[in-house]
Amino acid sequence: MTRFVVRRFATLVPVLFGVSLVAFLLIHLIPGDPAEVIAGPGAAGADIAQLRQQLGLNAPLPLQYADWLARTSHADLGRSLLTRQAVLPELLDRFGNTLRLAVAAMLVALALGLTAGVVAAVRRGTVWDLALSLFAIAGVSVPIFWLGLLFMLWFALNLGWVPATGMAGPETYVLPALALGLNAAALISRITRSSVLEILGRDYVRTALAKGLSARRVLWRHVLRSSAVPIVTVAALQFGYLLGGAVLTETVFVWPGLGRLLVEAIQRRDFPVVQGGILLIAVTLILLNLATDILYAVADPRIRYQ
Amino acid sequence: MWRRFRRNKLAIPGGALALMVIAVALCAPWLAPYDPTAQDLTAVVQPPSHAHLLGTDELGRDVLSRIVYGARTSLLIAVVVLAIAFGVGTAMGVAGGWYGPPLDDVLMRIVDTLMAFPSILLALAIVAALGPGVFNVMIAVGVSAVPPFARIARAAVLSLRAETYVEAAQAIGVGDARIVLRHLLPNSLGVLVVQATLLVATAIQTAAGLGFLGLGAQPPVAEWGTMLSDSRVHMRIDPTLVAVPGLAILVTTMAFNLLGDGLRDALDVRLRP
Repeated sequence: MTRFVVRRFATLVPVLFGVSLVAFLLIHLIPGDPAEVIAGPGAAGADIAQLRQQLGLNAPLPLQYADWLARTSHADLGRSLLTRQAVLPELLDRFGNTLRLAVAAMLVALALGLTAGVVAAVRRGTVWDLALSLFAIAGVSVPIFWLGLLFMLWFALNLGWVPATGMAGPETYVLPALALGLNAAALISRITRSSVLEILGRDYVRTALAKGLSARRVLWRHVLRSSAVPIVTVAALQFGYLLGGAVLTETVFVWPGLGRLLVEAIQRRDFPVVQGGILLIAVTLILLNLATDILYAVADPRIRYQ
Repeated sequence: MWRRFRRNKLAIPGGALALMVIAVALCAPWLAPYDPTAQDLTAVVQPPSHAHLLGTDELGRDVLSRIVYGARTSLLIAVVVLAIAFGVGTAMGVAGGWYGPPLDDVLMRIVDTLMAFPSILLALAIVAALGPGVFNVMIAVGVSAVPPFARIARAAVLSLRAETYVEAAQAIGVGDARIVLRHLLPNSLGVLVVQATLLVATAIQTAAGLGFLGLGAQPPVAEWGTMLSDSRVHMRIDPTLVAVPGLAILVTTMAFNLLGDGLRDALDVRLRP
């Protein structure tokens, strides 16, 4: 097991290096002189020179990267160009709000996705199956920002059941979590349906039914437990995508999360915030994938030897 | 193959809908009743009427015409995204799979790096640097869609390179480029076509998302995501303004997803990048 974990950690090194390079190079992708573009049209030459100095753009590129990497590895992501505040505390504060939303959305996704998937599999070939398949394909296809707007219009503005925007109490989580979680719910329902169907055809399920166990007991004790691995894989992957999707949901619901901060920073060309935010999400996803892999290796020893 | 395609009950309607959207995009100048950018400030946020079947937006522009032209923008973005992702991704995957390490290691680490970012976030980061606009959205979404193509093409090449006909071709001295173009690519095409169809759906959605955030197509270009963003302040007065562009994105994305699912069943391929 230790060898597996060490090996898995070793594969992280080039990816972390690549991710840091992408975040660093972002500012150099700007067409023309980055300092001039960030300062905006009409900025004085002295201001541009000062900004260039502040962003460390005068040094050769490899040196800039080495310096940026050294600072970043010491948890120094620089200062916001607008607020002059350190970037990391602000990012972490906002990231906490995004994580809360993503967890709420994942709960919605699991509740809806598992129920829909199991019902579709058990009622295979019926109207239920077709209707739930349509739900799944519509859920995957629906733009989450549009769904968010529709929910806001109906449930908040017209019916007044929940607040339309902001993050104030448990009721403010309802609409953003539903809008964000539906897409993941659709994917989870598809994978649940196919893995439950696969297990339902196994001999031991037939044996369990033949020896007189109730269908409900067979479903809970044998089928769902055996179908768990692919479902958990998809759910873990989806959690990462929820963090990405939060960019849109947070904009719709004015949620004070990292996604909204990123969009605002992009609009204001506050590059240290953009670089830090992108890096934070990517590193979180990489660590999440690592944790999932290690958990699998604990659960299934065959994975360690692959 | 056709029989297997037909067996998927939703594939035919999906394919028909996708064809319809393509037809609308191609015939936009003949189908749209008005110029999609023509403003009429005396008739802003009008409900549906005989003159304007889907009403007008906050600048008095005909919503139906903008939806019709929006199909053109969305599909144009999807086509260019597809070209970038298919071209770059397949080239990386084939080269990595065929030549093996160390080239394969380098290429796959690049793919792993790109995959570490959720695709919308990677696209957002690229647009942040390049600036908003349709062209930059195409590049951003295209780059973010490279990894699945690279993985799928690599997996296909790895499974094909052990085939006897590939060995035979090598034995008689056929060059690498010819083996790739004449044998490997045609035999990997099924799985790549399925991925391409599904990518059209993702590309349209991601581009619309960027448009909604104000980082995609810029005014006065008609684009569904931008339309949604512009009209949300008026959604209580006229919900059609929000409903229609969203429905357009939903229907188009769903059509290509259903078509992709049908093709996957018909070509009997597994998408495990």
